[in-house]
Parts: sequence; structure tokens; C-alpha cells
Amino acid sequence: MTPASQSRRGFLFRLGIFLNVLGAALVGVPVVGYVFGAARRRTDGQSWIELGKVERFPAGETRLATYKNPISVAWDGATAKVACWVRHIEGDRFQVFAVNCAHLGCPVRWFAQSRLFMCPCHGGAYYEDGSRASGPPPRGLFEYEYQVRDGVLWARGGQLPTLSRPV
Amino acid sequence: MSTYGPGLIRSTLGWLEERAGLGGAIGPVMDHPVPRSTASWWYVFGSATLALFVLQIATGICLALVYVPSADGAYQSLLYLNFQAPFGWFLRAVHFWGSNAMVAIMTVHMIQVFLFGAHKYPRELTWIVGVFLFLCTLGMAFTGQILRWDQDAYWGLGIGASIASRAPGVGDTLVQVLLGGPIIAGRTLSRFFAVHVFLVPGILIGMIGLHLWLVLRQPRGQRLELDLESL
Repeated sequence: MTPASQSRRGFLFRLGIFLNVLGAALVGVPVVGYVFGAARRRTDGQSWIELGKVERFPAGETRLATYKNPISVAWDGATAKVACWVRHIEGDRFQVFAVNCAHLGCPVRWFAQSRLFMCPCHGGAYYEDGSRASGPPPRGLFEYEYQVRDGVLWARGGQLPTLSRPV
Repeated sequence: MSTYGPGLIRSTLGWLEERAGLGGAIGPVMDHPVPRSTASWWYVFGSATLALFVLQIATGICLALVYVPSADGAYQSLLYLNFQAPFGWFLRAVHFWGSNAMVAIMTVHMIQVFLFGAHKYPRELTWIVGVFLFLCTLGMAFTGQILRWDQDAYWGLGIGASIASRAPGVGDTLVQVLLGGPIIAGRTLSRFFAVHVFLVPGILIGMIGLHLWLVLRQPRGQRLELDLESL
């Protein structure tokens, strides 16, 4: 009797397994690549974004600015708009903070009277320079890089700032 | 000449039974006597959870007939559902309260099973599958809330992403996969719609089948009966 490893039946059985694995790979590789492709970045997800003329942000004050997400798609609706806090210190010196609290990403709000950023979710508080004042945040506010070009303020952003990838 | 009335029904069922054999497989389990002490309302919560799941499927399919899973249209379609589609407001409300009830009743079911010690031998596997069913149901509740695409949904995603980002090593990748990109936007909603409507329900249906199979294999009170016989 022919051993199974040499018989026609054994060969066809192994061929069948191989073809099934091939078929699974033909479907599986594109599916996995498609689902997890979102995690592969072509750039680092950041781009320079125009926030508006410098005059919109009076010196010594902190104002909310909104910009359009640089990688938005046509069906993003209102979620294409992203907010950030702009603190104009003086002259060309600014600070641009992400709106997201460093604790769990809720939107912090600027209270001009107390000169604090406060988070509505769990009571995180930050000083006007973005450093942590109190509450659960493990660090200060996420801060964007900025530039002033021809009287216009630009910031480098575009991704949700989180602890594992602060801006 | 064929018979009519009860005879026709009986012959139809007989035809089905001869081919599918479902009655023969399930009948003995359904007829299996249980000790009087287990004929109690305490055992109703598993079936109640299943009934709520069926309710969620029925109302969910109805909602999906109108709902638009796009970031610029989702909220509009919910307004249409609430104020224009006939019974839309009712089905949406039932789906919402049904989801809350399913989580609540399932929690009661889990507590009952644990307090009665029904998770022990020979039903450990039923318990393990049940734990995954519980996690999937919580996942359904979270992803369903995202589909409203209101402020709660948006900032809830921010919280979800911030929690995911704390996973050591893979935090950033996890956030990107969760959001379908670097930030909460249209692709995030599409992703959560697919997870809520296709992925998790499919897993749930499969695991419920397994859970029920295990329940039928180890009917309640069976151990007690064996113990009584051996005395």
C-alpha cells in the first residue's frame, strides 16, 4: 500500500488545503489591510492650518478659533470643524491649545475672570499658559506649534491629541 | 385525497420533522422535568434578555430603513424619524429603552447566576460565553449611542479614544483604528455604524446560539436530580 504522503489521495488532500489557505489569504490580506489601514499614516497626520488674522486675537486675551480639519471628506458635516484656544501673549508670541482636556479629551472652556481653562467632565483645571492647575489631567493642555506669517496666525494640527500622541 | 384542518397541519409538521428532525432534537430537552424548587421567577432573566435582544433586532432593522449613517446626514435623518416617519418616534424610543433594559436585565441575570452558584461545574463554559455576551452588549450600547451623532456621541468618542490611547505601546494605533483616521469625523461614524449593525450583532447571534446550546446541554436542576438519585 502506498504511504499517505505519496498517494494520489494524500496529494489532492494537501493540494486542497493549500488552495483553501490561498483563498483565505486572497480575501484576508485586503480585509485586514483595509480595516487597519487607518492606522498607517502617509504623513504624521499634522498640517499647517490658517487660524485667521492676528488682529482677531487681541494681545493679553484668549479666544476660541475654529478651523476646517485639513483631511476632511465631503460628508464630514459639522465634524469637519475643529476648535482650539488661541492665547495672544504679546507681539508675535502666542500659545495655541487643543480644545481637548489631557484627561479624557472633553472640550475645556476658558474662563477669563478666573484666568483658568476648566473641563466640564471631571473638573480638570489649567492655568492660562496651559499648565495643569488641578484635577485628574496628568499633564498640561496639548499645545500646537504656531507661526505668524504676513500678519496671519497658523497652527500645526489635524489629529485628535491624546496622551500616546500629543500634538 | 389530502386531509384539511388539523390533519393538514399535522402532515405538514410531519413532513418538516422527517427532514429537519428539530422536534426530535429539542423535544426531550424541552420536556425534561426540573425540580419544583427551580420553577421560580429567578430563572426568567436569561429569557428576558433574549426577548429584549429580539426586540432590539426588530426595532433596529426598522430604524436602519430610515437612518443615514453619514456625519452630515445622521442627525437630520433622526429628526425625520422622530417627527415625520409614521411611528418613527415610537420605534426609536423602544430601541433606546430596550437597549437600557437589555443591559439592566442582563446584569440582573449575571448576578442571579453568580449568587446561585450556577456558574460552577459543569456550566463554566456557559458562564464564560455569557461574559463575552455581556461585553458585546455593552459594546452595542456604546456604538449605538455614537450613531445619534450629537454632542454626547462626539465627546463620548473623545473619551473612548483617550482611554484607548492609554493602552501601553499600541495606544496611538488603537485610536487610529477606532476613529478610522487621526480625528473624529465622517469615517468614524461609518465605522461605528458597521460595527453596531453588522459586526457585533453577528457575533452576538453566534454566541447566543452557543450559550443556548450549552444551557440545553446542562439543564437547570440536573445536578440536583442526579444527587437525589445517588442518595
